[in-house]
Parts: sequence; structure tokens; C-alpha cells
Amino acid sequence: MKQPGNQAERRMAMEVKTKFIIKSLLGFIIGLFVGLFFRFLNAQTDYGEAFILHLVMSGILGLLAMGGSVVYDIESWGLLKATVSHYVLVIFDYTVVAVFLKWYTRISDFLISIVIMTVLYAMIWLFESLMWKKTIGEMNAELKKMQER
Amino acid sequence: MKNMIDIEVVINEKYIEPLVTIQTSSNTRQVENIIYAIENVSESDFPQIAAYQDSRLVFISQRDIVRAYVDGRKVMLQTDDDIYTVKKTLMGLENELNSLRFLRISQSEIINLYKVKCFDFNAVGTVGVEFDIGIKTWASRSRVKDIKAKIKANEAAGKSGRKEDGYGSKN
Repeated sequence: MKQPGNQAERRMAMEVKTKFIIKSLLGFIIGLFVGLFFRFLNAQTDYGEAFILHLVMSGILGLLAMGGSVVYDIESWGLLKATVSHYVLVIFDYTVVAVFLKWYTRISDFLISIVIMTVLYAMIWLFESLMWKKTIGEMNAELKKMQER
Repeated sequence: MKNMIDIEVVINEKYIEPLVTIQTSSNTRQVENIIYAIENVSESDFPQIAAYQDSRLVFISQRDIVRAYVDGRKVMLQTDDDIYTVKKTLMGLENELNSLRFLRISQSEIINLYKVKCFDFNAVGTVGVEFDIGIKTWASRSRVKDIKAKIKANEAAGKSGRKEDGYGSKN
């Protein structure tokens, strides 16, 4: 069984941590803009406390979603594990924020949004898997050619 | 203490290319080591790797190495038949190994491309590596690009007839 040596492990953890910090910051900013965009879409014009709270929560959602995407960089995690982990993280935060900020008046609307996101995740995962299978297939063909030399 | 090997050199015009004959009462490990040493001298400058098995020192020909990996604090070397320890870091070992034939597939493993049977992408979404000897391991997805490039580089080297790998004919 292969296990990373301590030094290599530390180095890798450092890389993931820095990536996480950078992605989280970027995600927060993007979240802010998305929050602003939705407020604009819903033609809400009050700029009080509720507005600030909404922006901050949007930012946090973005932070978690983008920062959380570092799970895909974890070497030992398969694509499925990374996708499911990211999905669970995002759906959980989204639910908490949506409930807390009362984004939906009808639960059916909220559930529809969950279904849409689930389908999107599944589609992206399927697409990624197919792309990987193709890449690996090509690699095997090349390997055969190389070894027959 | 290791026995000193008696070396006899016989000059004979008949042998334009030297013929090496080893006379021994039995085919011991030492005899095998001598053969490897001679084979590697006549090939290139890819050094044999000093490896240990139960504190016994052995020199392993690079062409026999399947993979090198980190196991806890130790760096292991696996050949077709055996597993050895190496007193180097994985990075240090990487510098000694033929860069065309060997490559890093993850933070803790280097493989010999010519010992690989095939790659696969399983349901769990990891890149599997299966060796000719039946052992399986995984490669980091982020290194797949490098693996592909290395395979292409080997093909290119083969086509041009360059003996860059230094091992002569196919392993």
C-alpha cells in the first residue's frame, strides 16, 4: 500500500491549503456579484440590513462552493468522491442559506431548484467521466504502440 | 565479507568484440550481479540502483524496476520478483532513473512505463495502473497529461532510432 511520506504529505497539504484560500477569496467575490445580480433580477431596492446580510451570505455561499472545489485537487480522491463531496457541501450550505434568508415562499420551488442542481451535477460528472475514459483509452493505445517498438 | 572476484583477461586477436565468459561452480546471486554489471557497462550511463533486502546490498538494473514507491518512511523498489528498500528519497531516486522510461504518477510513486500493462478509469473515478506482473496502483489525475506526453516522447525516440533509453533492443 502506498502512503505519502511525511514531507511530501506536508507539501501537498500546503498546496491544497493555498489553493483553498485563493479560491475561497475569489468565490466570495463572485458570490457577492451573484447576490447583487439576483437582487437586481427580483427588483429589490432596499439597501438596509437585509441587503447587507443577503450580500454576505451570497459571498459565503460562493466562498464555500469555489473553495470547496479544491476537493478535486486531492490526489487520492476519485472523481466520484470529489463530485459527491462538493455536491453535498454546496447543497447543504444552499439549503441553510435559502431557509435562513427565506429565498423561497413555496417549498416546491425550493425542491425544484435542488432537483435542477442535482441533475446538473450528475450531468457534469457523467460528462467528465466520459472524457476521462476517452483520454485513458487513447493513452492505452499509445502505450501499446510504444511498447511494441 | 565479500569474496574478491578473480579476473582474468586473455588477449586473443580472434575476439574483436570482447567475449565475456564467467566460470563458476554454480549460478549464484554474485554471478548474476556480475552479469548485470557487465551488461550495464556496455549499454549506457544509466546507473544501477543500490538497493537493500534484509540489510543485504544488491545492485538492480534499471530495466528490471517495475516501480518505486513510498511506504511510510521508507522508499521501496519493486522488481518483477522482489521488493527492496532504497536509502534515498523518492526525488533522489527520480534523478538517477532514466527520465524517458520512468515517471512520477503521484506524490509517492514512480513507475517504469515499459512494465505497465494498461491504464483504466474506474467507476469510482480513479486512474488505475496495472502492471505486467499483476500489481495495481493508481495515478493522480493531474499527472495523466504528463504520462501521455512521456508515452509520446518514447514513441518519438523509438521512431528516430535514437537509443536515448540506453537499453538497446526492447526490454
